[in-house]
Amino acid sequence: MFETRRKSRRINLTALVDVVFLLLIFFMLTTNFTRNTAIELDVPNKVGLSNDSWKGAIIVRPNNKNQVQLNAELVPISRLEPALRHLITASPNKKVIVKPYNNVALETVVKVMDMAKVNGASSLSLIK
Amino acid sequence: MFESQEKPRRQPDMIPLVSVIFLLLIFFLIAGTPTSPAYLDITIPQSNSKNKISGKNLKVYLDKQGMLGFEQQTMDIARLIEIVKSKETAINVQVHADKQVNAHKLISLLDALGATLANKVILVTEERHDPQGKK
Repeated sequence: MFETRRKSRRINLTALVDVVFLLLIFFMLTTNFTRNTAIELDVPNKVGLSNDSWKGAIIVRPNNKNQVQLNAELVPISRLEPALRHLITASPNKKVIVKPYNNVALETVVKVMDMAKVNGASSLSLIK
Repeated sequence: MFESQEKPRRQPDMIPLVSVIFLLLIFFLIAGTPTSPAYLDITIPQSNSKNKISGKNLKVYLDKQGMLGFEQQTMDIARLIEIVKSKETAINVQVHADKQVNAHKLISLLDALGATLANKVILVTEERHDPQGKK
């Protein structure tokens, strides 16, 4: 009695394909494949500068003219790396404080922090 | 003569197509990371850091004008701190800041977070591919 019905029925997949295509296009447009990494920042109240362990730390002060004040000396950012390496090697605790001037882009600060880390800084602090 | 061509039309078999699309969909779901939210335009800075982002973090966005974004809405620091303080356990905060934002705005945010239960703050950066890119 039901034989004729059973034979020819197939699920219509068109609606499913439409929805899955939409999802696919959405994910293709909203994802990127660059890997994100993290720089850990000190939360000031936990590791305050009043702490004695930061005494004698190297102070690096980038400005918005591509120069960096390194302790008291003004160095162009392109020549910062050797100077910073020299200071970090000579420093006993290898701690670096990055204290940017006002209106310095975060990109510059990250570049300086990167340089310090690559050249052996043990801890970094970012303050105003 | 042409009668034989008028037999009932066969529907194309969609199952292989659906399988391939599903595979692609799963690939994009797993391999990709979502971009920053549409309500703030953010380009994160590049760095040589190799630390991976792990664990559950609160995501805070900071655009180049210093506008803060959290949970699909923009707000000021005071409101954000109120929300973070309302969390009962110590939390990690993940900051997605634009590379052109004034660094002082980020430091103000860090200062404010210092008064809360936030125990770790991480700045999200994009991994630099250029091996010479230290400069």
